[in-house]
Amino acid sequence: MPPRTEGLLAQGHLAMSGLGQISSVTACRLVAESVRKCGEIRLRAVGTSMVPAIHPGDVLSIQPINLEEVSRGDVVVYAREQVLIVHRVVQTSDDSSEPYLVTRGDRLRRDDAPIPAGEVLGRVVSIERKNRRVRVYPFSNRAGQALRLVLRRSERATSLFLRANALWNGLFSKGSVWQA
Amino acid sequence: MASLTTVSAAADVVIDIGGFPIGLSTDDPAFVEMLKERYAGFVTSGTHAQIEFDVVLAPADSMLGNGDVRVEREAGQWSMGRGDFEADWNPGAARGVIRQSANPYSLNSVLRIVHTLLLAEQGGFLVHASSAVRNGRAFLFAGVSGAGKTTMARLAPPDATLLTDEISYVSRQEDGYHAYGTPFAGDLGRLGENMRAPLAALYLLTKGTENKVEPVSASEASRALLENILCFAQDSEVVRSIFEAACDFVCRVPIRRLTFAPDARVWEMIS
Amino acid sequence: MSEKCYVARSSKIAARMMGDEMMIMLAPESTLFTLNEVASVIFKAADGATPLDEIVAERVCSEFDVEFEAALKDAEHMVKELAGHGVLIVSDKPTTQSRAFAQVAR
Repeated sequence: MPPRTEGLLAQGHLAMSGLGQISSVTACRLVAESVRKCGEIRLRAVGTSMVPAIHPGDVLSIQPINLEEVSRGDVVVYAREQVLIVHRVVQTSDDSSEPYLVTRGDRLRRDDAPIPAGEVLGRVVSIERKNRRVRVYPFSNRAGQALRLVLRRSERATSLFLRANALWNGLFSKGSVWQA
Repeated sequence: MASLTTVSAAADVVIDIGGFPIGLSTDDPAFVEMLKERYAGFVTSGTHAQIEFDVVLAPADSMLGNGDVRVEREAGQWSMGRGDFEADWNPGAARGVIRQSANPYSLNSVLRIVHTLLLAEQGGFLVHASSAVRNGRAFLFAGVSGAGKTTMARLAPPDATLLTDEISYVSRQEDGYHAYGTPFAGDLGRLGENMRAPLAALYLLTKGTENKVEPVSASEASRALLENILCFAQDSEVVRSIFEAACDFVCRVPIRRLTFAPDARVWEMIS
Repeated sequence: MSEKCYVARSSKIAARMMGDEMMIMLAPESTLFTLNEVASVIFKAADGATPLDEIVAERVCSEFDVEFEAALKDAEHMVKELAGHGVLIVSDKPTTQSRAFAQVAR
């Protein structure tokens, strides 16, 4: 059961879509369809779990996104138990057969339960606050991600083969198995 | 194998990959024959080599392969090595020396290193990808070991011509990017065709249960490409050149994610 | 960190804005960085001549609508991290040496 979080887009708060009071199940389904069909929708936030990045009352612009394009630090919208949740991605999965995300509200202490790919509705791309467009503030004061590139794989594999071959004191012959 | 005496004439072989013919001279005719056989299709005669290397052969067990490749530049001269070879190259004089035992693997590594340096100068690169030509256009399939590069090559239809199943050659020219065939083979165990074609698209491979093609963001494409590009030189200028080359490539060539089940229908999605 | 802090882009890097992400290659180690949104703003503004507190006040606070003190503290931390990697150069005096970067959208 997900934590009882703030930062929810709860039942009855879809004012921007003009839907008024409707059931949560329908609301979630409508949001999912709208994001897919229209390419972008706008929803109003409640709660403080994502302050200072998202304030109560902010209008969020949400765009659909493929799971492969989601990075740590993105703020995504997903549906869980008939409510819409807007939290930040803290972990992406390496498992391409069953991809998932893990999110957390910036001000919360615990991660949310993992989200399967199909439940992610979109990513917050910008915020409207007091009639002004603002960008999504990153959670931590880390500058970003550093990736060390592995650039010499094939040569290493070749060298290991060569060493094994040399140990057998074999020279190249037509019948030998070789890697270029 | 012992070196022959100086009474024998030096033998030459010119290996032309990507339009850069590299000449190799050695005192050992058997080694030359082995190279001609090993690089058949890429060996040219009567071609003026752009770079000439002397290959000095050492006894088989005197040089053992181990560890990472070292590629460094000092005062304009390249020096490269690993346990199984040492090589020096003076680009200004277009000459160099390779010291190794009489095996094909060391020379293969030297050729790859030299070509990455040549390509870096002109905005091209070598990349872990299989590639094939269909209808006059080249398609690349990039991914790490096990991602499906060789599988894509194996599943290619009869009208596709294989350029390589392991290391693709991307050259930047005035009219855009071209892919060349290479003798750098992977598990498929056969050399690519010595030809070139304009590059139509690069696909990032992901294994899955269905065949689908999806767009990829510029940043994701850059990351994936940089993770698969070959770069051996510990040299700021070369690393910078390769980075710029990868970013330019991403801006100019369609890059898509290809999730595929291992059946030949995946090629119906390649266009 | 001192009162006035100037930040400049290192000459040891190559940087490109690819889509909405700032990608930085640190040569010769071939380490790739992708900066978050605030770090990207600071990196782009790091001309060596503008103090960090001005960059935060004029660029970060206005673009993200966050309070100055908190944003400055975050910025100082990020700058220290990037300087530690050799991406930025920090100084208590202005400098004119700041590496240019290209902004080419796909």
